[in-house]
Amino acid sequence: MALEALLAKLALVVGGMVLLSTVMVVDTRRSVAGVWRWRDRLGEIWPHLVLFGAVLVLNRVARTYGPEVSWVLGWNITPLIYRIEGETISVVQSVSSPEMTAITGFVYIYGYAFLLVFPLVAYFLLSDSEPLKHTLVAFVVNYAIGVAFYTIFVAYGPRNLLPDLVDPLLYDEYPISRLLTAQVNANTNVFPSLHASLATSVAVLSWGTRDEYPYWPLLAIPLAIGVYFSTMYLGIHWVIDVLAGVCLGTGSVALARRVV
Amino acid sequence: MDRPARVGRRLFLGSVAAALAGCSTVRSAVNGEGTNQVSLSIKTTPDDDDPYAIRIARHLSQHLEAVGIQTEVTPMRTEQLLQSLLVAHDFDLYVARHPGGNDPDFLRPFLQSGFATGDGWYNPFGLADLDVDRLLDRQRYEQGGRRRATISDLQWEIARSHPFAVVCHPDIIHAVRADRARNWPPDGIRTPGDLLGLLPATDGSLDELRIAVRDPRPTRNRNPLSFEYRDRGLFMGLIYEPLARIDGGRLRPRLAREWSWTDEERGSSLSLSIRDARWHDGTAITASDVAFTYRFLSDTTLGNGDVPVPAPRYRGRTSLVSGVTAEDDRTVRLRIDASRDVGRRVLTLPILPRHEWEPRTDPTAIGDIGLQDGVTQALTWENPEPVGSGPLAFEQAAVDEALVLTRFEDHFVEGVIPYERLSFRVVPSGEAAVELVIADEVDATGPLDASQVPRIARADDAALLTGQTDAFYHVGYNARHEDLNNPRFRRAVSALLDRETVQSEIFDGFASPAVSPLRDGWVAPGLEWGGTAPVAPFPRDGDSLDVSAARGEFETAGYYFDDGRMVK
Repeated sequence: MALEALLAKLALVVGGMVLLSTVMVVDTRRSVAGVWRWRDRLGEIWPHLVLFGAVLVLNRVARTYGPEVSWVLGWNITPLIYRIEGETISVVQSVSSPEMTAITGFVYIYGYAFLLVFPLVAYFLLSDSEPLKHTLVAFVVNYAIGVAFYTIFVAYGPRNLLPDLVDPLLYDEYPISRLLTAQVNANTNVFPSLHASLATSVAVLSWGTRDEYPYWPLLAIPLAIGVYFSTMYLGIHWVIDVLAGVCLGTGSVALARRVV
Repeated sequence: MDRPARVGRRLFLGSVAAALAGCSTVRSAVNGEGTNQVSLSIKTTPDDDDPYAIRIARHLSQHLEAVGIQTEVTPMRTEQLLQSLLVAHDFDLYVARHPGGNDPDFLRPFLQSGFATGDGWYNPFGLADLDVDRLLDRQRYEQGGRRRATISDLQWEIARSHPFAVVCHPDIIHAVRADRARNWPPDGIRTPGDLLGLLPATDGSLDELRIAVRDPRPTRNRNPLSFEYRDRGLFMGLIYEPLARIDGGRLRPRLAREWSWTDEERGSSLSLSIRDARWHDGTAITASDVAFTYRFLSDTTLGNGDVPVPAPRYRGRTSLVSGVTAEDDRTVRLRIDASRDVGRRVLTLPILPRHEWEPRTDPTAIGDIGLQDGVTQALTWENPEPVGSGPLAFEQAAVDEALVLTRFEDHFVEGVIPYERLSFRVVPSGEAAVELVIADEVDATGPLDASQVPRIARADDAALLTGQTDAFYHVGYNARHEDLNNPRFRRAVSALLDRETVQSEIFDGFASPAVSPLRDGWVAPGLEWGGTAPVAPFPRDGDSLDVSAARGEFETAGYYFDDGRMVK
């Protein structure tokens, strides 16, 4: 089945990327040592993991019922966003080419998944459990605030309001990928961009661990910027969604560092 | 296509400042102080729900901005949009598709002033035009050539009064595979009969016929009375049988075996004999179910409410019924307050099982249709497991994912449906639907938009079905609005629609531009599309809008222009 095949491919590709990066970014001795300490590590972080799991479940529920609540509240901010930023997004798309679409499509789906999974693996292997706790708590804050906004506001992305200017490039080129993204999110949830916010959190945290993993920021920061660009290039998010996402992602890390 | 200069820097900076200062000041910051620029909002559906409507809205919005009217396009989910237009009447302009009708009498509830307070596709415009009212009433009691002449006059009167502007009739487009099922209707799947007349491509019968659809509404709600969740009613037509269907312009018997007409002093009456048939739950269908249905659809409180609460979706047809009685177990007498030509439409209403619907006459507790009084449970019920008497029965559904119907073995019609199950899978885009046809995960798609045609044409395993429809895209005007209450202003707005460009660029040619909501033989002489609109023609300057000519129309309506902005 098309969707299952796509999911399997996602798991394989992202798994491969994580494995490869672990070999490159984390030195082998540390990896082996870290793996052996898994029991201690879980003992330290289980409350954070439970919290993270709970927020993911809440997120799932909110994305099913959230849109109904949004429509009852009736705050449709799509025209306001358009009035503020106009057709800026079509500038981003002016560089469109099939290669660019292929690259941004890859970054949007696989690069993003990698950005979220890799720090969990890499920080698990550190002897200091703090970066891992920061990451989990920052993710929790991102999701909690993001979902609150999604529930309160109705906001459609540029591809839904400006189809004459913005081609839904991802879905034209890779129609089946739409089956996946439709599973993950409703089309009225674009403000703020959780793609941008989570990528930002990971990038900011990567800078904080540059002594332990000097190569990681070199990978994480450009990839985060690639995610920003991809979401706009593909017509999924407005510039404002991405800016709000960057603020949310940065704020979430600050909050995580304060509470942990 | 002509496009006004993109949002100007002044407007852009003004908006940013306004947004920072709070939304309430947007208007004054953008407009400057002291003037009163005309501003209109256009409600429609997003690209995901209907790729045509949002593009028409954008087309109109760009021309309105070019003329000097400030506009705002608000995309809304289909059900939300319909509630907003058809229940709350909360809009300035909207762009939407009306399912149309094969008999012009659908215009009576759509435009008659007496329907302006009800819910559904019933005079959302707030139009109160006595000439339109009179012609609508007159055609109701007429037949043949005389009615045809009245319908022509009516179309001209509507064009003059201009409560809405028809843009075009879209073509229907499907992708199908021919290797499992054959006998696909070449001009598209429009009626339940089109899905029932399929044949297996190989020997034996199919266990499942699979269709990918874009519209998720039947997975959320299966109430045949709901208007927000129904479009053409294809799903409901498979589950619920009417007394008769109109097919090829003629009445064909379904639950009614036969009938005889008697002319009355005003209108006519009809004696029908009901077939020996069963509901999907196994109980027998009687004349009492039929009589109940007509009473119930006319007033879902069954006379217990302070005011009658008719089923909005069927109000046009139930308004033609003046009485119903079950004379014995198998005979029903219907009194119809209309000519036979108009009144026969009454027989196409879905017949409901009395035991399922009679308990739902109480006022609704949640009131989720809106804040109006007089909403019964019958209208808000999701009807999760519909019990009808159609050739297919409900089996299961998953919200926003799938709907499965199964063959009803006790159905009265001879001839076997060549598949045991009919499954509908909801897909998020037309592209995905076509890909699933090519991958042999489905046998056909539901209606697609024209952008899919090249993809279908390139695929070896998929064939294209396409044909014309009664549906029409239109721009609706709210006559309660301070500017739109002026028919001259409405016509000036309609003149901004470049139907030729809309047809070629938005519909890729898969639509017929039109100014009349009617089709085929019904279009009034002189109102046919002949390359330009016979009413409110588009002021063309080469390929684009002649702005000064367009402004001239608004000036005639009493507006003037100040620094490129339209004020009054």
